[in-house]
Amino acid sequence: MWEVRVPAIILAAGLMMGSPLHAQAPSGISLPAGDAVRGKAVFEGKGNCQNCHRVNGVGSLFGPDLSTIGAPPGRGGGGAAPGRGAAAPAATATTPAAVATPAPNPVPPVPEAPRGGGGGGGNRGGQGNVGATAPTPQQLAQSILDPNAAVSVQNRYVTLKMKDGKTVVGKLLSIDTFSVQVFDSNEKLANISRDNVREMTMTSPMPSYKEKLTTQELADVVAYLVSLKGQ
Amino acid sequence: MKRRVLTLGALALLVFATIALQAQVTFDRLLHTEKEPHNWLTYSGNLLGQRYSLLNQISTGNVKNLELQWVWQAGSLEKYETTSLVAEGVLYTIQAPNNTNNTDGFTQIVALDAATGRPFWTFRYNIPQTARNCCGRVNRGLAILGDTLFMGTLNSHLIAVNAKNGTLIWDTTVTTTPGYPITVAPLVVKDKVIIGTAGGDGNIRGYIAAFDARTGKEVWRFYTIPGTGEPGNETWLGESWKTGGAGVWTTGSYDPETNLTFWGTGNPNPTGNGPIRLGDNLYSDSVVALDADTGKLKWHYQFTPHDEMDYDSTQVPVLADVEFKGRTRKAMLFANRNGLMYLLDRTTGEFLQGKPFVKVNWMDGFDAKGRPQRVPGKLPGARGDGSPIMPTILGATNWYPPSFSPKTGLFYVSAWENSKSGGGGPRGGTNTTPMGGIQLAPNTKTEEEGYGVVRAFDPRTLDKKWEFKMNEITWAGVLSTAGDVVFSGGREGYFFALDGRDGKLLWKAALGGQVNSGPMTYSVNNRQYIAVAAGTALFSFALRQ
Repeated sequence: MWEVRVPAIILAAGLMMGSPLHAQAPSGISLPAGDAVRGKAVFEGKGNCQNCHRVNGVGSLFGPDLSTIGAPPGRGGGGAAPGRGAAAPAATATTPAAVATPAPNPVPPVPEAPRGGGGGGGNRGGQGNVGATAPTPQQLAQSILDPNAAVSVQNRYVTLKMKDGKTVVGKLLSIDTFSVQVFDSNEKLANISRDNVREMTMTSPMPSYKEKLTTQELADVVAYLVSLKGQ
Repeated sequence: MKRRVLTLGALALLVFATIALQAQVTFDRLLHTEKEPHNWLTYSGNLLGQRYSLLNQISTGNVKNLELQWVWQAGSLEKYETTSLVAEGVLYTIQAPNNTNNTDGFTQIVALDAATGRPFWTFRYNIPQTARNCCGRVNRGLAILGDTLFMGTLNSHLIAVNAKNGTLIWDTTVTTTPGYPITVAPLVVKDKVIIGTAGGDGNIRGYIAAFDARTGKEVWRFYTIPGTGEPGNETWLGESWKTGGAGVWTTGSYDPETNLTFWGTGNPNPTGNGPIRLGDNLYSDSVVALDADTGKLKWHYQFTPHDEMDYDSTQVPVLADVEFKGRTRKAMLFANRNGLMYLLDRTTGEFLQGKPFVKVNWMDGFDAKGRPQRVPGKLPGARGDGSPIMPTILGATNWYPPSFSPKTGLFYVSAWENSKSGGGGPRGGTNTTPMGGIQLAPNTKTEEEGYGVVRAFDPRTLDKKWEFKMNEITWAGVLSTAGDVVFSGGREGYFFALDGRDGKLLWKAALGGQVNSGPMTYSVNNRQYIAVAAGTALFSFALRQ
């Protein structure tokens, strides 16, 4: 098995205040009051978010569907919450597309029970969404500003440098000893033999929006995302 | 003329009786399975627990030509953890109970033609929906003696079934107390059938028991937790011993030289609440050596005293003679769920050496008697320091069987590397439940978050000789053969063959379901087969003809 390189988790995230950024911990992100209507306009316009994200049937399938990002997971929402995947405006048309995709049934990290084991069988069942909550505005902002800061195992993206010189970028659906399954940037499902891969890195292709949005625009986009609770 | 007819009749009767006797699986045959490698007569292939076959038709040179010969689909959505038996061209396997949480169901013993997979007979045994197990309604296999198959059941029965026609011979109620499911494949020693009771995650007092193979009557019982007045009872706080768990759910082994049978025991209960059961909690997380005739304890070794990490020692004790410090020792190899590999003297229980076979951080050495030295703070929950504990509570390995090849001299183990519990990381290093299942599950873990591996170790030093990495964790056992081929698989659904000498991948097949069983091999009409269960089906392979 070859190495899969993963970026170090960046705990500091910056906010564009119309001035140079200053680093803050995610919990320290402070946002002005946002306007969801204005945020929708940024999302669909300046942010080019639909290049990668879909909301209520409009937009790309490559990134997470954000139609219910403002609702708690398990109640039709939270598809791409921070920690479960980046939820953010998409890259511009000139940047390699996008962000992270929601798993079909995204599962937030669950505190581990102090036990679990074979006990004579081998299956203690899965983990549920009990007690899960919708992502906070701060978490959403962090994902927009620093898409690689907290990406869940369900929403990982890979860049595969092939031996023939090509590069494949896609959402990692699964990886095994011999092959990789991805949903690529052309919205195609692809099974790739690892024999043909020279190098694989696991980073979100979504760029940071630190330099692209003002603080107010960021707050507006966050407000818009918070309002998305499904139709 | 009349006399001649009688003589011929007597001769025919004698021939028939001789053939019938040959078909009988006597205990002597179980002791000497090396004389008939075309059969697979015990859970581990022999009584030593080695899961090694002398068959060598399939070798490192031709294993690439393996082809699927047949598939048998079980009518159950439970994991298929059974290791099949083969005797005289008939393969015996088990369909796990098909209950749901709300319905009764049944389990089945099935006799198949080992060359084609065509069924001969099916024996159905009802399992009430109230019969449950912590971790799946599984059954790991059968035992055979004479013409009789033996199976433990989820509702705590031990049954005997005629191997010729699948009819019930006897049905013994091991206990009527709820919480004692039997998932282990029985072990036959002499005229006795030995089983253990699972359920050690609940309020039970586990035991190992032997039953008369002919009548089903219980002959002896060894409680894995000593009672009042017995040595070891003082290792439990107050009355905690009464519900201290220590279930048994993986088949033991047997040493004919000492007449000892060896069994690994499970975790103390409740697992994560050590303060209410202060003490070492004997004989949880131990291997116990019992006199096979009486069930009397000869020695024990406890791998994880006062366990709070669910490090069941329910792995197969593998018996082999091993050179150690210039002497050949009658040894036991034990790759434990706690991440440590042990070499013990099987005649005395003496600790010879122990080493981690994956990353371990809950202990940092042994004292002179082989007691692990704990690292402070490595406790689950609020009493710990919050840092990850390695290996995970699901273990560095688990029930899935290892293998020892006397030919290569190597000990092969399926393991999880980089696994951890606590500290906020993904549970078991996986993005779905790390427990075994039947369907393939997506895996997006990194190597740092845990992976499965088959590793080969030198029993003399317990040093790693080679490894074969997978991306996903594994719940598959290992088989080694005289063809120097090692077979295993994993959650990724691949069944594969490795060179037993260096770990090089030689062949693989995608079976479309998780491999949660130990492979086995047999031969029919001089053709070697390799069988393994994956998903809910049993697959059998042989060389292309």
